[in-house]
Amino acid sequence: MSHKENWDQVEVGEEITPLTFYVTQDHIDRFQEFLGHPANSTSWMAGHNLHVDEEYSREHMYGGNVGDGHQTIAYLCELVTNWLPYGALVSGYSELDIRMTNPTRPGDRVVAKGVVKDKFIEEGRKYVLCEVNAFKGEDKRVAIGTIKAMVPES
Amino acid sequence: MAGSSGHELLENWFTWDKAVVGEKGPLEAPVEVKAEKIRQYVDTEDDTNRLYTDVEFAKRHGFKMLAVPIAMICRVVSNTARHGIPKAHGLVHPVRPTPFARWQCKTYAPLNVGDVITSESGLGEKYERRGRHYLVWHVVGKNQRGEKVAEYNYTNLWDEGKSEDRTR
Repeated sequence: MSHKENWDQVEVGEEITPLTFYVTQDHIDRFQEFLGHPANSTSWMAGHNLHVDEEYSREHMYGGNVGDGHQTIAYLCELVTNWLPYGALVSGYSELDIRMTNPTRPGDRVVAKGVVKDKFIEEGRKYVLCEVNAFKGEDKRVAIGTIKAMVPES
Repeated sequence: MAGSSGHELLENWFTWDKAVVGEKGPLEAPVEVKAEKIRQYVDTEDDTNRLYTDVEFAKRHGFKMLAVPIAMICRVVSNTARHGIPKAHGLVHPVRPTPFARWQCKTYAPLNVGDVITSESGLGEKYERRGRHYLVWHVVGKNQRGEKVAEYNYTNLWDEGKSEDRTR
């Protein structure tokens, strides 16, 4: 699954192998359970969770249930952790800055993409800086940002 | 006063104008990082990275046990300010969407299964951009050794939606 064995193999300008995700209501529901906000929740979101409460969502800004921005961020993190050497991004000392620009909806096909903008050593640690994007449909962007992943020694 | 979609804005809602930068959220009980939560993430997202599924493989790559996905951070480094600050003022979180707009996160000491995370949160910033109003929550999590593991800014759009949002 990891395409790069070590930091030396990463080249600036390289495109990260895209990942495709299919958003379904079941997928959204299960992610809400993971976050601790299931459809039958008694939490403060109960009855007004724009991801799982269809009637509520239909009456409000997006006109229907939408995917959680955390889920889109998870897609982008998987994009990076799949492609960089094992341990990159999840060994600490990393940074993410992701903006959610449009919601995902059940039925959307989302493609996560990225490109290596830089690689460097900082405070003795090796880094890869990636620009990441996610799109739905033909070209509607759902997220944009940067991930500065610390790559541990292999 | 009605929002742009015609929904009533209730006087006891915690609106953007009532938010005070610097105010702190309540402390919450520490949260343990659990392996079953990682398994739930894997099952939910089909993210079958071996670091999340194969303990021996993860150990060979320097982890104490399974690696912890980034998606777990908001699960264990808790933002209590978003609903705790309104409650402290006798107000309620608006009963309408406050979409997640931006996440700026820095990780420090690695998260490990078995870590117990204590978090502090507060309102870090409020701003207006392109006619919409945003609140930025600032959250810091430390492990049981007092080491910072993550710090993030979590931005919510705090306005009623606009008509064009229905087709975005």
